[in-house]
Amino acid sequence: METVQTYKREEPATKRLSRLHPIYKDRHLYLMLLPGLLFFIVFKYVPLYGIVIAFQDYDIFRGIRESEWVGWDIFKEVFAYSDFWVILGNTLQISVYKILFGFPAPIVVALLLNELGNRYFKKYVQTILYLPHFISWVVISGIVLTIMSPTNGVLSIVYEWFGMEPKNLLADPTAFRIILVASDIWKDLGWGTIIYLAALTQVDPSLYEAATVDGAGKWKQTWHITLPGIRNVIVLLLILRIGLLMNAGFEQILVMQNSAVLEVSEILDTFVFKFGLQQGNYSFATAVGLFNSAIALILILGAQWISKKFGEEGLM
Amino acid sequence: MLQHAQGWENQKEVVALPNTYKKVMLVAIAASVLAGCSSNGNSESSVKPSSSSSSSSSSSSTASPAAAESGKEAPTTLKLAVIEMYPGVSFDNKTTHYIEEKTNTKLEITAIPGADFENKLQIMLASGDKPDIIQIGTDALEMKFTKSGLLLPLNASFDKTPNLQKFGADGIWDAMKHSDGNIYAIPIRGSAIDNIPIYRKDWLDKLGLKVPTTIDEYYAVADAFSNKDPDGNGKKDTYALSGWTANGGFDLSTSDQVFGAYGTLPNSWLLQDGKLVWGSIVPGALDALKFLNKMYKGKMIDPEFVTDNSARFKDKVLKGVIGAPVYRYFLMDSSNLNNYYEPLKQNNPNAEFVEGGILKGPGESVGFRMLTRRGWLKTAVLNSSPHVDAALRVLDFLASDEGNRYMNYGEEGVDYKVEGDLLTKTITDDQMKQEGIGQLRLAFNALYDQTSPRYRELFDYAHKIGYKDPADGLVVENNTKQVELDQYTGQQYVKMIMSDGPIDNLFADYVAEWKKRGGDALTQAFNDAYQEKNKK
Repeated sequence: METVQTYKREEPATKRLSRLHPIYKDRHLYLMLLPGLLFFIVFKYVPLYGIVIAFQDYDIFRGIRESEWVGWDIFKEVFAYSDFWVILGNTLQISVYKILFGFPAPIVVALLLNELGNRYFKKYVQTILYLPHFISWVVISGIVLTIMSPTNGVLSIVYEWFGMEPKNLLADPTAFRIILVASDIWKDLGWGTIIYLAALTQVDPSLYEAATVDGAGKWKQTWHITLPGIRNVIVLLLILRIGLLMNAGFEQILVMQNSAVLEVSEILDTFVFKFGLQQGNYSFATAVGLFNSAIALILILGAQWISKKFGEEGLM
Repeated sequence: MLQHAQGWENQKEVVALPNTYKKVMLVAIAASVLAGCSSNGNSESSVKPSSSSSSSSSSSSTASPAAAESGKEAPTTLKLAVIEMYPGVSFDNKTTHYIEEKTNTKLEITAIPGADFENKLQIMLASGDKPDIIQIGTDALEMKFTKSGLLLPLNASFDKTPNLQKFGADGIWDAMKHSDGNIYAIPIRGSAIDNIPIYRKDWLDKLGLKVPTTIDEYYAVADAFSNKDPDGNGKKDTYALSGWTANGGFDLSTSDQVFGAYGTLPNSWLLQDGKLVWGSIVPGALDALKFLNKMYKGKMIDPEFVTDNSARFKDKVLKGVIGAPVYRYFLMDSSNLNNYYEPLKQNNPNAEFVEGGILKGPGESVGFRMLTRRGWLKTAVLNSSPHVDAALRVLDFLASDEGNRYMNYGEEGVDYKVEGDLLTKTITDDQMKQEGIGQLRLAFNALYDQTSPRYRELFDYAHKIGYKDPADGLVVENNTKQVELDQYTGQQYVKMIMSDGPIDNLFADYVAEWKKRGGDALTQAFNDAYQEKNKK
């Protein structure tokens, strides 16, 4: 991918070489690009033809070529589906909560870690914080279930201390959403922090020195130097995160949800999995997936546009 | 979903590029977004056939000695795609070799793990990998395959397969028959899935109560079990009922005794005035839900009934948390493989189960749901098979007394011995698995030679109080709808059981919505099929 840059930094001495010179000169770089390109073509572009299933009454045994074309009928079916709008609403709601509370969390933690004096302590905290990232949702779900259990969970003991009746929070729609967001933050907090910590090292130390001379305290330094210093990284990650808005956490919700909270926790991805793949409604699943992606594309372009408006760099 | 994740990872890479080539990257982003999406539905290109995730084993090492000796033709190679009965156990074992020898075949078996079994099977078939013999789980898939003309009508060659014909003589083939009069699949049934109401006898004795016979007595027992500390540890940690969730759906069967007393069974068909009516939406169901709601408020239902999975439910039965549910009858007998009795006794030496009967209630009481005659698993032969005769030969052999006996118990004198009436296994359960006994259940009929009298008694009892589903054996085309409706029902029922206020309105809304979502159409389809079947 560096090729592009090299090509831009064209040197004047190239006239003497052959017509093919730009490519020939960077041939090694192009060669290195090849596997990446192949990956995209084979795994990302070629499968794109599968989208046509969304416009067919797809029969798995007749295949794409012989299945009947039905135009937008499948999409009409999707939008007419009784729960579709509820599911879409859930997807957006859970995702917005996750962004609202989950997005600033690693920034705050990174700022806090950045202020730590003891390097070893800092490293330990950092490592411990990002460990949950490597635990699968199935395991986390088991942990949550064990903690939340009103009959033998840790939480039931806490309830008893306060003389309260233990409740099954996982069956409570409001509490369930909070658990979803909280466990998501817990899992990926440390991982997100790494990027911000890396960005923080880029902030010019002389600025802090100057601020100290001018009498700025820690708060002022953070507000006027650190945050503006990593602003472009924050905006960039926010744009990416908004692109993932339709992705409210498939695995997590699939393993954690239950009948009592299904109405507030069924999201597009779990719905596609259950209704589309498990019950074999492939056309329906593809149509929902395509809708999902179209929205995601609009969101990411919208976020990009807004960030440009505010004078940030954005993605491109 | 993995594909999804990869798609987004790629976007992050794209981000690192400089401001040139904007358009290229826009396309790349669009593409990766779309590619991520396409992997949702496009199973053909992005998901590999099941071979990668399943243990495939061909027992090629044994050329059939029988064939060599008698100068018969070379064994036919058959490809099988079956459900994985014993995870991780290879098919290269004595039982498979025995079948191969007896039927002059070579079996190449792909075992697909039970989770997501049907999905993987369909992808396997769609990718052109066509086995000779396949297994199917649900009626819906059986209908789908028959409609696509994939399955071989088995009844057409019943004259060549006498054992197979005999296999379903007592009504099974009737239940398997499609509207075109053909039989496309052999049902595999397990008796162990039938349910009876069970009570903790030691708790009843301690509290001075009898096994309840009416719904009011049941309430009294449930109340005492839950709130009078039957296990005597001074804590409120016991309940009458609990349940579990699987795949976001709620299992309603543990409270069948309550519904039965009000004359209905949820997610089951009732026969009223010659017509089939869905048991979840009748007025009796509302009364039963009110009863359960009252129980829930009275702390007689475990608050975790909706968040537990089946493993946690089992754990609670074994630890003595639940005292009066409807559950599998086999858990009350210690001679059964995987029985609950021994671990229960280990946890609590005084623990004892006793079975109960149908509760009398305001309605005309009905019994307990049993496994459909159409089985939990089905075996079928693909039309496209070039070795139909050999495939039928294998199925016929397994359906025969000799084959079925081997599949149940293994080799006489080696794996089991017979003394008088009593059959005793001489190997452990683990050895049994390793030898492949019971591994290839293509035409399997459970035998009861080795079971205890208690087990037989319970077995007979379960069948006596079992509910005879009038719609058992009916297949209709749009029954994928039923899965969806059942999930909806479970969800709404849970809401009503846990509701703080009155539930009449909730129930009315649920019934209206159920009908609108395709319940009416489904009822009509089942009634048509019912009339059609009874006409003949």
